[in-house]
Amino acid sequence: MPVPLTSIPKELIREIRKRKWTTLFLFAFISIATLGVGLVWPTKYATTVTIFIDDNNIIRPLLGGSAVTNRVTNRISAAKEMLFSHRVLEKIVDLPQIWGKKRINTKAKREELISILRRVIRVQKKGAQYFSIIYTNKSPAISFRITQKLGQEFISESEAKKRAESQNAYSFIDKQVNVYQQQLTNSETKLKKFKSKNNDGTERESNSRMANLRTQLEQSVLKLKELNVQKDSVIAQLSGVNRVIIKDENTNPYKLRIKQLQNKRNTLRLSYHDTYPDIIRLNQQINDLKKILKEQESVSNQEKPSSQVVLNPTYQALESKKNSTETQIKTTQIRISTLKGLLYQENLRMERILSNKATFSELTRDYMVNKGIYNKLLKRRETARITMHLDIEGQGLSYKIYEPPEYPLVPVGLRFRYFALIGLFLGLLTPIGLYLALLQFDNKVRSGRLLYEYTGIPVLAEIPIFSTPIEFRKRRFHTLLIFILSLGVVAFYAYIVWLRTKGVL
Amino acid sequence: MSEKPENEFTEKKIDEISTLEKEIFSELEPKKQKEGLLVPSSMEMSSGGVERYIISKQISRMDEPRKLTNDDFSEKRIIYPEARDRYILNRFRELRTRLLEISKGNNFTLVVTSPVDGSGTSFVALNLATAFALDSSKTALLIDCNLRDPSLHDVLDLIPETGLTDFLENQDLDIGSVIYPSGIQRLRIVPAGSRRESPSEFFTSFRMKQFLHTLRKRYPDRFIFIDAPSIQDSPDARILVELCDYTLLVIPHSRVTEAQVISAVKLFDKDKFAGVVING
Repeated sequence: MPVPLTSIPKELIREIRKRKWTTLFLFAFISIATLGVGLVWPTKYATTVTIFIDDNNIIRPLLGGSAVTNRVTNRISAAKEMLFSHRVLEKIVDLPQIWGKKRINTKAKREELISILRRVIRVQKKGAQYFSIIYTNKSPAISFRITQKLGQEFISESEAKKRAESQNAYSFIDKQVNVYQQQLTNSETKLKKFKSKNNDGTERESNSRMANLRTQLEQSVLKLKELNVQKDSVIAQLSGVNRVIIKDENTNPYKLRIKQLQNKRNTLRLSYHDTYPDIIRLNQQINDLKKILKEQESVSNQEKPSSQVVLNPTYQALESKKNSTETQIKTTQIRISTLKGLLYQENLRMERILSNKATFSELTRDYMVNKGIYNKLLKRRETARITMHLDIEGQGLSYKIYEPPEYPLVPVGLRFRYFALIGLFLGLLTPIGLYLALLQFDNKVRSGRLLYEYTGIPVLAEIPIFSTPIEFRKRRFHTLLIFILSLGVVAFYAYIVWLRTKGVL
Repeated sequence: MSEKPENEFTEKKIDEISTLEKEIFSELEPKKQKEGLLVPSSMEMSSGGVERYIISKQISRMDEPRKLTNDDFSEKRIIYPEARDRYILNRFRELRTRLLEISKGNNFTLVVTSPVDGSGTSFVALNLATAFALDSSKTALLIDCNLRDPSLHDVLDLIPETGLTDFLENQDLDIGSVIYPSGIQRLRIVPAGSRRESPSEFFTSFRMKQFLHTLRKRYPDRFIFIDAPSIQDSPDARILVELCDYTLLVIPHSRVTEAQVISAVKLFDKDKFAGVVING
C-alpha cells in the first residue's frame, strides 16, 4: 500500500528514527567515499587551438569562375584525416621537449605513442567554418606544447598539400595540352598532304564547271546548225545570181541624177499637179542637168560607150559571205570537239573527287575536332595556371589559426571541489532516498485511512509508539550521540578538504 | 490474592440483583431481551434507580489491595488519567467510545488478537481494558489466554497461584479464586496460569464456555477482554471468538501487508468483527 503524500514526511521521520545508526553509517560512508573518490580522481588539463577555414575571398568572385577554388565537402573530417596522418603525428613524436630528454628510438614505442596521440586528440566542429583541436594530458605543459605543435603542423601541412594539388592539376593539364597539340599537327599534315595530292577542288566546283562546259557545248552545237543553214541559203542565193554583169550605160553621174530627179518628179506627180511649185522646180533642175549632159556629150562624143564586164558585186558579196560562214563553221566544229574533250576530263575529275570525298571529310573532321579540343585545353591550362598562382600567393582555400592555444591553468572534467561540494549532500540524500524508495515500494500497511479506503475494514484507532521514560531517555541519548557523531563526520570531512586545499593530500 | 467477598452484604446484594433481573425481564417484552449472548447493561434496566445505586456502590467499594503509581504506569506502558502525554490516552478513549458505539452501550466480551506475533496485542488489550476501567461507571476484566507466552501477570507484577489453565483443569476451583486485582482501579485480571504444552484443547472445552458464561452472569457490569495469541501462532483466537461477542484485530505498523490483513479479517465472523487497530 503506498503511503499517502501528506504523511510521507511523518513516515520518513519514523523510518529514520527506527534506523538511526544505519542512517548515520550511510551518511558517513557515502560522504567519506565521495571525498575519497574526489581525492584520487585524476586531474586533466586540456588545451584548445581553434582553426578558421577561410574559403571566401574577394579574388574568387572577381575571377568569376575562371579560377577554381578547392571545394572540400566535409572539410572538417578531411582536416581530421590530415591531422591523424602518420606524417604529422611523427613530427609530434619527434619533439624532444615534449617527451623528455630521452629520444624515443624504438619503432614500437613510436607507434605506441602515435596510437596514444590518435586516441587522445579530439577534433571538434565549432561552427560552419571553425573547428578546434583539443589535447588533454595530466601535465599542462605537455598539453600546451602538443596542441601548439599540432596547430602549426596542421597549417603547414594543409598548405603544402594545397600547393601540391594545384601544381599537379596544372602539370596534368599541361601534359594533356602537349599531347593534343601533337595530335593536331599530325592531322594537319595529313590533311595538307591529302589536299596537295588531290587538288581537284571540291565537288561543287567541278559541278559548276561541268555545267558551264555543257552550256557552252550546247550553244556551239546550236551555232553550228545555224551556220550550216546559213551556208546553204547563201549557196542557194549564189546560184541564182550572175557572176558577171555587163555595164551598158555609163554610169554618168548626171544621168543618174537626172534619173533620180525624174523619179522624184514622178512621185510628186502622183500627188500634185504639174503646177505645184516643187514639181516646177524639179523640172527646171532636170532641164539644167540635161543641158550640162548635152555639153558633156558633145565634148566626149568621140568615145564609144564601152561595155565593161565586171564581177557582180552581189555575187561577190554572197561569195565572201559563204566563205566566212564556212570558216565560222569550221571554227565552231573545232570548238565543239574541244569542249567535248574538256567535258570528258571534267567527268573524270568529278569521279576522282567523289572517290576521295570520304577520306577528305574524315581528315577534315579529325582536324576540326583536334583543333577544338586543343583550344579548350589551352583555355583550361590558363585557368589552372591562374589557380596555381593563387595558391602560391596564398589566396583560395586556406586554414588560419583563429584562436591560439593558451596554457591551461584550470583542469577540466571532474575536480576535487565538485566532489567535496556534493559529498555531504549525497551522504544526506542517500539514506533519505532509500527510505523514500522503501516507503514507496514496500507494501506494508502504514496508514489506517488508506487501509479503510482500500479494504473497507473499519479502523477503530491508530495507536502511536508508547515509550517508557527509560526508553525515552535512552532514545534521546542516542539521538544526541548520533548528532554529535555526524558533526564529527562533517568536521572530518572539512578537515580533509582543508588538507587537500593546502596541498597536503 | 483471590478476591474475598468484601462483606456479606455485597454477596447478598449480588444474588438479589440476579433475582430481580429475572423478575424484571419476565415482565418485559421478549424483544427487549436480545437473543444471543449479550447481557443487557445494568443501566438499561427499566427504572433501576435502586439497582444503579447498588451497583455503583458495589463498584466504588471494589477492594484494591494494591495500587499502581503513576510512575509504575509509565514504566509499564499503561495509560493513566494524569498522563502528561494525553495523546495515547485519548486514542484509547476513542477506541473505547467506538467499541461502545458498536455494542450500543452494552457490556460485551471482546477478543483482542493479531495476524502476526509481536504486534503488541497484550499492550492494546491491557490499555483498552484500562481505558474502560477509567470510566467510573464501568469495570473491566482482562483474561490472559496467551497460554504459550503469557505476559500480563508479568507486566502487572502478579504472582498468581492459580490461573485460567488451573481453573479449566480443576473442576473444583471457584471462579473467584482466579480473578485477581490488577493494581488498576476497576480492572480485574485472570492470568493464564501455569504453562501447558498443547493449549488448543482448553478453549473448546465446555468448562471454558461455562466459565465465560458464569463470568457474565455474575458480573453483569463488567466488560470482558480476552488477550488471545496471534492467528499465526494458534487457532485459539478463532475458537475464542465463537464464545465471545466481538473481536478486535491489532495490526502492527509497517509489518504486515494489506493481503495479510484481509485474509486475517476473513477468518472471523462478519458480525463479530469490530474492527482493526494499528499499533506502532
